[in-house]
Amino acid sequence: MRIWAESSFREKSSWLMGALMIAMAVWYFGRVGSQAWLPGAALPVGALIAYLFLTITGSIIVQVALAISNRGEAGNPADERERAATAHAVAWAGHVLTVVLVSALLWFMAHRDGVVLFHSLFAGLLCAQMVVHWGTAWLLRRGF
Amino acid sequence: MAAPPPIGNRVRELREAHGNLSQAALGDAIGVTRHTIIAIEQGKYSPSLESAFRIARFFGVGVEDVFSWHG
Repeated sequence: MRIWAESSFREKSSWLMGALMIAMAVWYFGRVGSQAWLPGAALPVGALIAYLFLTITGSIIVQVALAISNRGEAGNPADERERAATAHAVAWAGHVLTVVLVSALLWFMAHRDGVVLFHSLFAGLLCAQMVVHWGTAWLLRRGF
Repeated sequence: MAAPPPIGNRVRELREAHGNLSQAALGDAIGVTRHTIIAIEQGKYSPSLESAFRIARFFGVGVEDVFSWHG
């Protein structure tokens, strides 16, 4: 708890947003289930819309709660260390996204399965977001 | 834990010598957060050249009086 109290607003925000992303990814893929990955399966449009709505709502709740508990810091722009940490994390996320994207495209070339391509790219985007948030938080905690 | 950069600094010492200036006040003066000043003092972050000059200017000393290379 002491570490949490001493953390900056952006570090707390990054940890919580990463946790939200993981929770929402688990919820989404749990909801669409393994059937959605089968060839010819319909795209889960309802689950996608629900995912977007819940993620946006959850993000707003997290940010408002953090802003209320860190009033002094919440409105300040990111400083050079915070910007650098985010830039590192975004670069890592780019590598993750590239690996997933290339793997998904290779799978598509071999199997011509657009459903798996769609889910793989969506999962890749979620993974990249998690890497951005938790990568930023980890760098701010550990130093770089 | 990553190896800290081979750069030492006297920020804490200078801060304490200037009327025990708080980390938040120094951060405000040079345009970074209190947490960045803490990270600099702990050797977890090497500031940009601009911030290094701002810190040195704030204390009225040269950059090499604040930062030193241990590589």
